[in-house]
Amino acid sequence: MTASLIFCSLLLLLNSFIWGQEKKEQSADVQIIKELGQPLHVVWSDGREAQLEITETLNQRVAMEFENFENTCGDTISKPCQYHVGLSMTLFRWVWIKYQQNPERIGKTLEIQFEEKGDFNPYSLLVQKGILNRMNNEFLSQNVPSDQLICENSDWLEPFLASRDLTGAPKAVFVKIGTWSTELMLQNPETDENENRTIFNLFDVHLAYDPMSKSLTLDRIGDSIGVFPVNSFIIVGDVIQWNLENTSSQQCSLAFKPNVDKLFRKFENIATDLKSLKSVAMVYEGEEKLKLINELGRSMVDFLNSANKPYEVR
Amino acid sequence: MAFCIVHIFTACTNNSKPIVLLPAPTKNGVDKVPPSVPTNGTLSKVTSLSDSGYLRKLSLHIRGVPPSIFEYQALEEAQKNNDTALFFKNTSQEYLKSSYHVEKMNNRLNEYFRLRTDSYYNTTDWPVLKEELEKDEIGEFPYITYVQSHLHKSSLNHLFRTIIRENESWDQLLLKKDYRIFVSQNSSNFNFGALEGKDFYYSIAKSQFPPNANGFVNLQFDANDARIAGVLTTPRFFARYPNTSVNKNRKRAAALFRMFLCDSMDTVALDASQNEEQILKKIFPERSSGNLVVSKDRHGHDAACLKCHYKLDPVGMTFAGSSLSLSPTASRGSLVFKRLDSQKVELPVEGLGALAHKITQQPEYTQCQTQLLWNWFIGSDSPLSQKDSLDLQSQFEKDKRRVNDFITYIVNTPQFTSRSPLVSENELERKVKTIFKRCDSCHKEEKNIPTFVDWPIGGSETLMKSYIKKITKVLDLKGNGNAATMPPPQSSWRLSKQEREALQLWVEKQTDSVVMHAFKSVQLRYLGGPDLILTLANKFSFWKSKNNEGLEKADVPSYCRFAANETSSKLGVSSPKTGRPIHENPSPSMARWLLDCGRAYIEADFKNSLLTEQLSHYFAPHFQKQFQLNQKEKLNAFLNQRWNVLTPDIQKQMVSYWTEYLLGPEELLSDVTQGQFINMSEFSDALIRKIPHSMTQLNLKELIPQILLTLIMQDAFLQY
Repeated sequence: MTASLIFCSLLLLLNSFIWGQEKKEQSADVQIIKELGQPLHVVWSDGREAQLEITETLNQRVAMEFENFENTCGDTISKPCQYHVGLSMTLFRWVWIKYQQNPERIGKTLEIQFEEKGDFNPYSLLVQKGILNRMNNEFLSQNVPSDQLICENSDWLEPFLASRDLTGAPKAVFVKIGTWSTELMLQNPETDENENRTIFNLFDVHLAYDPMSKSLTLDRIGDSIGVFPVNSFIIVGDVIQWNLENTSSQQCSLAFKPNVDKLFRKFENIATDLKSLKSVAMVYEGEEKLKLINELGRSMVDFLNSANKPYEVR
Repeated sequence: MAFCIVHIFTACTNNSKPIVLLPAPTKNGVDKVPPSVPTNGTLSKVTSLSDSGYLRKLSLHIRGVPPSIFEYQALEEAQKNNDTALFFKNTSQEYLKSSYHVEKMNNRLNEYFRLRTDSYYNTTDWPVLKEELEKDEIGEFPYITYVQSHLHKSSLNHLFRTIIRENESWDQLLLKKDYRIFVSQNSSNFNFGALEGKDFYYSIAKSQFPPNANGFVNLQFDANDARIAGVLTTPRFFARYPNTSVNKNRKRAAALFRMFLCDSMDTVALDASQNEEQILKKIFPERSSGNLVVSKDRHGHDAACLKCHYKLDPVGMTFAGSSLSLSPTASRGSLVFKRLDSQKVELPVEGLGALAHKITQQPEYTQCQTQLLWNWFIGSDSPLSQKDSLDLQSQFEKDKRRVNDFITYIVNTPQFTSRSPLVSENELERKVKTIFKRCDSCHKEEKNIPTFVDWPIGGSETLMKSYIKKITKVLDLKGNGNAATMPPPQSSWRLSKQEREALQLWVEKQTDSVVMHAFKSVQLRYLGGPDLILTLANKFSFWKSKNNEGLEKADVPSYCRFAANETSSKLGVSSPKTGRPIHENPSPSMARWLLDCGRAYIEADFKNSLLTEQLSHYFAPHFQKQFQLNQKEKLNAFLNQRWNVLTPDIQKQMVSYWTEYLLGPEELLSDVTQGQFINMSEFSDALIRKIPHSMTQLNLKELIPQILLTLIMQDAFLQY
């Protein structure tokens, strides 16, 4: 349940990006100024001006328990497993560069204050390697560490290792997962009942096995589909299910319960760390960077356009 | 879509004529309207419908709306020429070809599949799609043009509509191999929790989706494709019946058994003395001390679990690998169930497609589906004898299971062409049987427990008395329910206070003499859901507004245009969760909806001058001399006339006109008022007499809407 709450709040955070492409870039109050080689600016009708800035990116792996509770082709994994989520977090913020009404605000982060809820300080981005979606802009995701699964006991892996060398010993081997499904407590669109539902599938997921460390490292993700347009976190859910074939050509299913609470606590810590970092203007250049900048600009305008509660930008 | 209530606005009782004029109705006033009136339990005489009555019934059952005034006129013409048989033959075929029929059946199927029956979004974001829908999906059906939703633009609903429109075999619900996938580059299913078609079929039909597709894509699979099975392999079906790693497609399997084999597979009655952990183990046999471990043999050994799991799991296996989208490979499974004679059927299948095919070959399928169509057109409350059921199945085969051909047969049966015997079962017994049905659903596979809804329970008066005693004990009807052992603690169902009181009262009445009669409950159908909205919209054609820009510009509030949302009190629709009607009985909120929205529709029409134009058209010949209504100024002058200055004759002509417009011709009057009025003159007189004196001072512009509102509040308008 907690996972679903956190997940949904994440989606809300990302929502403005999701919708950004389809909506107008300009509202009555604000205009985006894009000049190649220059920082992206937003200009308010009252003359105030802010530019987009970016902090250093923090890359790290965060470990969480990953409890196996089902294996239709054998025993469940008897000893604990840890899933190490590869994270990359960058903070983007709009910083005032003109503020005639209150010059003290210059150099400070733009804040949107709602009457009914806390301040909104856009944005921090969370990126996990491997999922091809708009949030995984290459500009951001180039140094994201790959996910890893490490279990204290690796016997369970034996029937799923895809190849061996001539001596029968494992070589560069992969666990090849046909379908990776993530479940989350969500409302049924027809009945409005909350229930556990599969929210997305990843196909043809390869985990590379390292016999020395007995770890599995996320190596490849084929296609992905989901009921949400964007999902950067393949492990955010109440249940993760793998459907894969064992070496006897038997279709097997392994189900895991990730401890995402721990993961999200870590997110919060990293976000706090990011706020203390110095940021620099994000210059409007480079293909991947441009895509991202355009989305951030649009999302700001879009956010303001779609806000249905009174707010103050300061 | 019809909902079953007795006397919504019952200022009318058995003793008073059903004329209700609500002077300046208020919301509070409606809340005070008493609910349904219990009847005396006697069967009224079964009579044939008049021709107009049959036409009305035909139209409402097939199209969901009453006939137009022009259709009644055509009938009158046919009567004059002794051509009624041909008229009805042609008219029923016309109705069956209409988009109204397609949409009515689409709504019925939505309800049967426990899907939402109403729309929430318009098509403004989908211009291309809207255009295509108007051409291919909508036909002349006006309602959906404006309120198409993402849910309606689904492959599943396209499949429903195609089967109905093309008069295909009913089996195609399960067997169809071609789909229309709606695609929009700008769309998102973020709000719906369902996959888009292109994602759903991605793994098996990637190459069939052109890049940048926008609008729709038609997919065609091989006739023997074992992965594909009509509605079962559509995104909307998967979204309604989701799968999880624990559920193992049992939800989908259960839906399939319920819908196609009439096996409701309700919760089994577990022994209440078991602790929660034991119960959980039975339901989820893999579970053990909080961790799920696979235990392959429990399903096969525990009697309580076995009742359902021996059927569910083999069918569930055919969905394996298809949790969110279709698996690229077919999954083997089996169709397993027991026949009524306890013979076990076990048919291995290669995949969902093969499973669907096997289902359509079972006699239980034929029996179930013919009963379903009977229930829709005749009524689940109208008994279907074994012989009639066999005849029905035989006809189904003769018609090659083509849906509209079979409907044609049903609407020509004596059960359809006669006036429904009116309410025969008293309200208390109806309530008790509703409760007992739920008991039956759990106990039905326990051979030593008879059904509780066929009275006398157990087949004899002695046994019935004995069962009443047992029921009293297990439900603790003599106490406050605290000592009840049924429903079992783990059941989600609890007797409500009203249910308990009804049972207590019923048991009390049984003590002296057990009621031996198996009462036949005949429910009255009332217009509800989209049918009611369509009917109002057809009668008060506000959406033909002069700028022809549709509903968005009309003055009717949105809650009057959507049957299933919260503000319209989910008017006469079933809950997608339970499949049961949201309102079993009339509710003040529904009455308020009708009052508010009826007025809104009438006012919108008046604002658009449509009624006044009709007045001009229809009344000009009547009043030409007096008012010269061919000129608009004169018409306005007419509308400004006070009611009480009109001659009684003109008053009567006007009321008769509107009565005929809304309720139907004079011939029908006896049918729709259950014989209380046999001619228009008497009816109009009665209505005029009910106009309060204070209202007779009003001018026609003010009074006509009141009269119209009064008429649409009549059982005669609402009931069929």
